[in-house]
Amino acid sequence: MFDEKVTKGRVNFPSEVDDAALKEFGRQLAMDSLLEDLVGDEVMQSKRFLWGRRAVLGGMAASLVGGVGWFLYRGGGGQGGGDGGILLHSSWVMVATQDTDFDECDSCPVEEGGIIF
Amino acid sequence: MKDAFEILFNDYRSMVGAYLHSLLKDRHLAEDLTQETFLVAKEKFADFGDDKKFGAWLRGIARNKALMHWRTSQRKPLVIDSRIVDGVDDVFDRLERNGEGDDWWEMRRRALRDCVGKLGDRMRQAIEGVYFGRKTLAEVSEANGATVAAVGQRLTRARRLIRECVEQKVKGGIDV
Repeated sequence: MFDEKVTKGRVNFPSEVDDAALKEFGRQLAMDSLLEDLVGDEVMQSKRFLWGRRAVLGGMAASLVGGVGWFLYRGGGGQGGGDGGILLHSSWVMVATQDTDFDECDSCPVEEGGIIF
Repeated sequence: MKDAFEILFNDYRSMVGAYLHSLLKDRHLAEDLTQETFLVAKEKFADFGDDKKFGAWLRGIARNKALMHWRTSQRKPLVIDSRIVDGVDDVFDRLERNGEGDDWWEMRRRALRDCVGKLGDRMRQAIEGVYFGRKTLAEVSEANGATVAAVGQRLTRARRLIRECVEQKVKGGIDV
Protein backbone atom coordinates (compact mmCIF):
# COMPACT_ATOMS: atom_id res chain seq x y z
CA MET A 1 0.00 0.00 0.00
CA PHE A 2 2.79 2.39 0.82
CA ASP A 3 4.38 2.60 -2.55
CA GLU A 4 4.70 -0.25 -5.01
CA LYS A 5 8.42 0.01 -5.37
CA VAL A 6 8.78 0.02 -1.61
CA THR A 7 6.47 -2.84 -0.74
CA LYS A 8 7.70 -5.18 -3.44
CA GLY A 9 11.38 -5.02 -2.74
CA ARG A 10 14.20 -3.77 -0.70
CA VAL A 11 14.58 -0.06 -0.31
CA ASN A 12 18.00 1.20 -1.19
CA PHE A 13 18.58 4.71 -0.03
CA PRO A 14 21.28 6.86 -1.51
CA SER A 15 24.12 7.44 0.92
CA GLU A 16 23.41 11.15 1.14
CA VAL A 17 19.99 10.63 2.72
CA ASP A 18 20.24 12.14 6.16
CA ASP A 19 19.10 10.77 9.48
CA ALA A 20 16.06 13.00 9.68
CA ALA A 21 14.82 11.87 6.26
CA LEU A 22 15.20 8.22 7.19
CA LYS A 23 13.40 8.76 10.47
CA GLU A 24 10.61 10.55 8.64
CA PHE A 25 10.42 7.62 6.25
CA GLY A 26 9.96 5.36 9.29
CA ARG A 27 7.14 7.59 10.53
CA GLN A 28 5.51 7.37 7.12
CA LEU A 29 5.80 3.59 7.18
CA ALA A 30 4.14 3.53 10.58
CA MET A 31 1.27 5.73 9.42
CA ASP A 32 0.90 3.61 6.30
CA SER A 33 0.48 0.52 8.47
CA LEU A 34 -1.92 2.23 10.83
CA LEU A 35 -4.12 3.27 7.95
CA GLU A 36 -3.98 -0.23 6.49
CA ASP A 37 -4.72 -1.59 9.93
CA LEU A 38 -7.75 0.65 10.19
CA VAL A 39 -9.12 -0.55 6.87
CA GLY A 40 -8.17 -4.18 7.51
CA ASP A 41 -9.99 -4.13 10.81
CA GLU A 42 -13.16 -2.92 9.18
CA VAL A 43 -12.89 -5.69 6.60
CA MET A 44 -12.37 -8.27 9.34
CA GLN A 45 -15.44 -7.02 11.16
CA SER A 46 -17.49 -8.12 8.17
CA LYS A 47 -15.93 -11.58 8.36
CA ARG A 48 -16.49 -12.09 12.05
CA PHE A 49 -19.13 -14.73 11.42
CA LEU A 50 -16.39 -16.94 10.05
CA TRP A 51 -14.71 -16.92 13.42
CA GLY A 52 -17.48 -18.90 15.03
CA ARG A 53 -16.27 -22.25 13.86
CA ARG A 54 -12.77 -21.37 14.98
CA ALA A 55 -14.05 -20.40 18.40
CA VAL A 56 -15.63 -23.83 18.81
CA LEU A 57 -12.40 -25.46 17.75
CA GLY A 58 -10.48 -23.22 20.13
CA GLY A 59 -12.71 -24.05 23.04
CA MET A 60 -12.29 -27.77 22.39
CA ALA A 61 -8.52 -27.42 22.12
CA ALA A 62 -8.31 -25.42 25.33
CA SER A 63 -10.37 -27.99 27.19
CA LEU A 64 -8.14 -30.77 25.85
CA VAL A 65 -5.14 -29.17 27.51
CA GLY A 66 -7.00 -28.76 30.77
CA GLY A 67 -8.03 -25.20 30.19
CA VAL A 68 -4.62 -24.02 31.24
CA GLY A 69 -1.90 -22.29 29.35
CA TRP A 70 -1.69 -21.47 25.72
CA PHE A 71 -2.44 -23.49 22.71
CA LEU A 72 -0.81 -22.47 19.50
CA TYR A 73 -2.08 -23.94 16.33
CA ARG A 74 -0.35 -23.37 13.08
CA GLY A 75 -2.34 -24.58 10.13
CA GLY A 76 -0.63 -25.34 6.89
CA GLY A 77 -3.09 -23.20 5.03
CA GLY A 78 -2.61 -24.67 1.61
CA GLN A 79 0.23 -24.22 -0.78
CA GLY A 80 2.76 -21.49 -0.95
CA GLY A 81 3.89 -21.28 2.62
CA GLY A 82 0.67 -20.01 4.09
CA ASP A 83 0.84 -20.23 7.82
CA GLY A 84 -2.26 -18.88 9.39
CA GLY A 85 -2.72 -19.70 13.00
CA ILE A 86 -4.90 -19.25 16.00
CA LEU A 87 -3.76 -18.46 19.45
CA LEU A 88 -5.99 -19.80 22.14
CA HIS A 89 -6.42 -19.45 25.83
CA SER A 90 -8.63 -21.16 28.32
CA SER A 91 -11.18 -18.42 28.50
CA TRP A 92 -10.89 -16.66 25.20
CA VAL A 93 -9.93 -17.16 21.63
CA MET A 94 -7.95 -14.82 19.49
CA VAL A 95 -7.93 -15.58 15.83
CA ALA A 96 -5.04 -14.41 13.75
CA THR A 97 -5.20 -16.14 10.47
CA GLN A 98 -5.02 -15.50 6.78
CA ASP A 99 -8.50 -14.69 5.65
CA THR A 100 -7.82 -16.49 2.40
CA ASP A 101 -7.14 -19.70 4.26
CA PHE A 102 -10.22 -20.03 6.41
CA ASP A 103 -11.71 -22.99 4.65
CA GLU A 104 -8.47 -24.84 4.16
CA CYS A 105 -7.41 -24.39 7.75
CA ASP A 106 -10.72 -25.58 9.09
CA SER A 107 -9.71 -29.00 7.84
CA CYS A 108 -6.21 -28.85 9.33
CA PRO A 109 -5.76 -31.44 12.07
CA VAL A 110 -5.49 -29.90 15.49
CA GLU A 111 -2.97 -32.57 16.43
CA GLU A 112 -0.41 -30.86 14.23
CA GLY A 113 -0.47 -27.83 16.43
CA GLY A 114 1.94 -27.27 19.25
CA ILE A 115 1.07 -26.85 22.89
CA ILE A 116 3.16 -24.25 24.59
CA PHE A 117 3.03 -23.53 28.30
CA MET B 1 -11.20 -14.65 35.81
CA LYS B 2 -8.75 -12.93 33.55
CA ASP B 3 -5.15 -12.72 34.67
CA ALA B 4 -3.05 -9.59 34.27
CA PHE B 5 -1.25 -10.84 31.22
CA GLU B 6 -4.45 -11.74 29.44
CA ILE B 7 -5.83 -8.26 30.01
CA LEU B 8 -2.63 -6.70 28.71
CA PHE B 9 -2.65 -9.05 25.75
CA ASN B 10 -6.12 -7.89 24.77
CA ASP B 11 -5.12 -4.26 25.18
CA TYR B 12 -1.90 -4.48 23.20
CA ARG B 13 -2.16 -7.17 20.54
CA SER B 14 -3.51 -4.80 17.86
CA MET B 15 -0.75 -2.32 18.59
CA VAL B 16 1.95 -4.99 18.31
CA GLY B 17 0.43 -6.24 15.07
CA ALA B 18 0.41 -2.76 13.59
CA TYR B 19 3.98 -2.18 14.75
CA LEU B 20 5.25 -5.38 13.16
CA HIS B 21 3.31 -4.60 10.03
CA SER B 22 5.15 -1.29 9.85
CA LEU B 23 8.49 -3.09 9.95
CA LEU B 24 7.63 -6.03 7.73
CA LYS B 25 4.97 -4.70 5.36
CA ASP B 26 3.43 -8.15 5.40
CA ARG B 27 0.19 -8.49 7.31
CA HIS B 28 0.22 -12.25 7.65
CA LEU B 29 3.82 -12.41 8.75
CA ALA B 30 3.10 -9.61 11.20
CA GLU B 31 0.23 -11.65 12.65
CA ASP B 32 2.47 -14.67 13.08
CA LEU B 33 5.20 -12.70 14.74
CA THR B 34 2.63 -11.00 16.96
CA GLN B 35 1.73 -14.41 18.30
CA GLU B 36 5.37 -15.25 18.83
CA THR B 37 5.96 -11.90 20.52
CA PHE B 38 3.24 -12.62 23.06
CA LEU B 39 4.52 -16.12 23.68
CA VAL B 40 7.92 -14.66 24.56
CA ALA B 41 6.25 -11.92 26.60
CA LYS B 42 4.26 -14.55 28.51
CA GLU B 43 7.47 -16.43 29.33
CA LYS B 44 9.31 -13.29 30.38
CA PHE B 45 6.41 -11.50 32.01
CA ALA B 46 7.94 -11.93 35.45
CA ASP B 47 10.96 -9.92 34.24
CA PHE B 48 8.81 -6.96 33.27
CA GLY B 49 9.45 -4.16 35.71
CA ASP B 50 7.08 -1.41 36.77
CA ASP B 51 9.62 1.13 35.60
CA LYS B 52 9.03 0.21 31.98
CA LYS B 53 6.19 0.99 29.62
CA PHE B 54 4.51 -2.26 28.71
CA GLY B 55 3.98 -1.26 25.09
CA ALA B 56 7.62 -0.26 24.63
CA TRP B 57 8.71 -3.52 26.25
CA LEU B 58 6.50 -5.50 23.87
CA ARG B 59 7.78 -3.58 20.87
CA GLY B 60 11.32 -4.44 21.90
CA ILE B 61 10.43 -8.13 21.81
CA ALA B 62 8.60 -7.66 18.52
CA ARG B 63 11.56 -5.82 17.02
CA ASN B 64 13.85 -8.70 17.96
CA LYS B 65 11.41 -11.14 16.41
CA ALA B 66 11.45 -9.13 13.20
CA LEU B 67 15.25 -9.01 13.23
CA MET B 68 15.46 -12.76 13.79
CA HIS B 69 13.09 -13.27 10.91
CA TRP B 70 15.19 -11.10 8.64
CA ARG B 71 18.33 -13.01 9.57
CA THR B 72 16.87 -16.46 9.07
CA SER B 73 14.58 -15.96 6.09
CA GLN B 74 15.49 -15.70 2.47
CA ARG B 75 13.42 -12.59 2.17
CA LYS B 76 15.30 -9.37 1.81
CA PRO B 77 14.49 -6.90 4.54
CA LEU B 78 12.43 -3.85 3.86
CA VAL B 79 13.28 -1.95 6.97
CA ILE B 80 16.45 -2.73 8.83
CA ASP B 81 18.09 0.66 9.05
CA SER B 82 17.95 1.63 12.72
CA ARG B 83 17.07 5.21 11.84
CA ILE B 84 13.96 4.07 9.98
CA VAL B 85 13.02 1.81 12.87
CA ASP B 86 13.51 4.82 15.15
CA GLY B 87 10.95 6.68 13.06
CA VAL B 88 8.46 3.82 13.35
CA ASP B 89 9.08 3.66 17.11
CA ASP B 90 8.59 7.38 17.38
CA VAL B 91 5.02 7.17 16.07
CA PHE B 92 4.07 4.28 18.34
CA ASP B 93 5.70 5.90 21.37
CA ARG B 94 3.71 9.06 20.84
CA LEU B 95 0.47 7.17 20.32
CA GLU B 96 0.98 5.38 23.58
CA ARG B 97 1.39 8.49 25.67
CA ASN B 98 -1.27 9.78 27.99
CA GLY B 99 -3.30 6.90 29.12
CA GLU B 100 -3.30 3.18 28.58
CA GLY B 101 -6.72 2.32 29.87
CA ASP B 102 -9.20 -0.04 28.36
CA ASP B 103 -9.61 0.32 24.63
CA TRP B 104 -6.76 2.79 24.42
CA TRP B 105 -5.71 1.46 21.05
CA GLU B 106 -9.24 1.53 19.71
CA MET B 107 -9.51 5.15 20.83
CA ARG B 108 -6.47 5.97 18.75
CA ARG B 109 -7.99 4.17 15.81
CA ARG B 110 -11.09 6.29 16.12
CA ALA B 111 -8.88 9.35 16.27
CA LEU B 112 -7.17 8.16 13.10
CA ARG B 113 -10.48 7.78 11.34
CA ASP B 114 -11.57 11.20 12.54
CA CYS B 115 -8.34 12.81 11.36
CA VAL B 116 -8.71 11.31 7.88
CA GLY B 117 -12.09 13.01 7.72
CA LYS B 118 -10.52 16.36 8.48
CA LEU B 119 -8.13 16.34 5.55
CA GLY B 120 -8.62 18.67 2.64
CA ASP B 121 -10.49 17.25 -0.33
CA ARG B 122 -7.53 16.33 -2.49
CA MET B 123 -5.55 14.67 0.26
CA ARG B 124 -8.59 12.84 1.55
CA GLN B 125 -9.36 11.58 -1.95
CA ALA B 126 -5.81 10.27 -2.22
CA ILE B 127 -5.98 8.53 1.18
CA GLU B 128 -9.44 7.11 0.61
CA GLY B 129 -8.61 5.98 -2.90
CA VAL B 130 -5.39 4.20 -2.01
CA TYR B 131 -6.26 2.78 1.42
CA PHE B 132 -10.00 2.42 1.52
CA GLY B 133 -10.52 1.93 -2.21
CA ARG B 134 -7.48 -0.32 -2.65
CA LYS B 135 -6.55 1.54 -5.80
CA THR B 136 -3.10 2.03 -7.21
CA LEU B 137 -1.52 5.44 -7.36
CA ALA B 138 -2.07 5.41 -11.10
CA GLU B 139 -5.78 4.70 -10.71
CA VAL B 140 -6.20 7.43 -8.14
CA SER B 141 -4.27 9.89 -10.25
CA GLU B 142 -6.41 9.12 -13.28
CA ALA B 143 -9.63 9.44 -11.31
CA ASN B 144 -8.57 12.79 -9.92
CA GLY B 145 -6.89 14.27 -12.95
CA ALA B 146 -3.51 14.51 -11.27
CA THR B 147 -0.10 13.08 -12.00
CA VAL B 148 1.09 9.99 -10.14
CA ALA B 149 3.83 12.08 -8.55
CA ALA B 150 1.28 14.62 -7.31
CA VAL B 151 -0.86 11.91 -5.74
CA GLY B 152 2.25 10.43 -4.11
CA GLN B 153 3.08 13.82 -2.63
CA ARG B 154 -0.46 14.25 -1.38
CA LEU B 155 -0.27 10.87 0.31
CA THR B 156 3.00 11.77 1.98
CA ARG B 157 1.63 15.08 3.22
CA ALA B 158 -1.63 13.48 4.27
CA ARG B 159 0.09 10.80 6.34
CA ARG B 160 2.12 13.47 8.09
CA LEU B 161 -0.95 15.59 8.80
CA ILE B 162 -2.91 12.61 10.06
CA ARG B 163 -0.03 11.67 12.33
CA GLU B 164 0.16 15.18 13.74
CA CYS B 165 -3.61 15.30 14.16
CA VAL B 166 -3.69 11.98 16.05
CA GLU B 167 -0.71 13.01 18.18
CA GLN B 168 -2.50 16.23 19.10
CA LYS B 169 -5.58 14.28 20.10
CA VAL B 170 -3.53 11.90 22.19
CA LYS B 171 -1.67 14.77 23.79
CA GLY B 172 -4.83 16.60 24.70
CA GLY B 173 -6.74 13.50 25.77
CA ILE B 174 -8.71 12.03 22.91
CA ASP B 175 -12.12 13.50 22.41
CA VAL B 176 -13.35 12.10 19.12
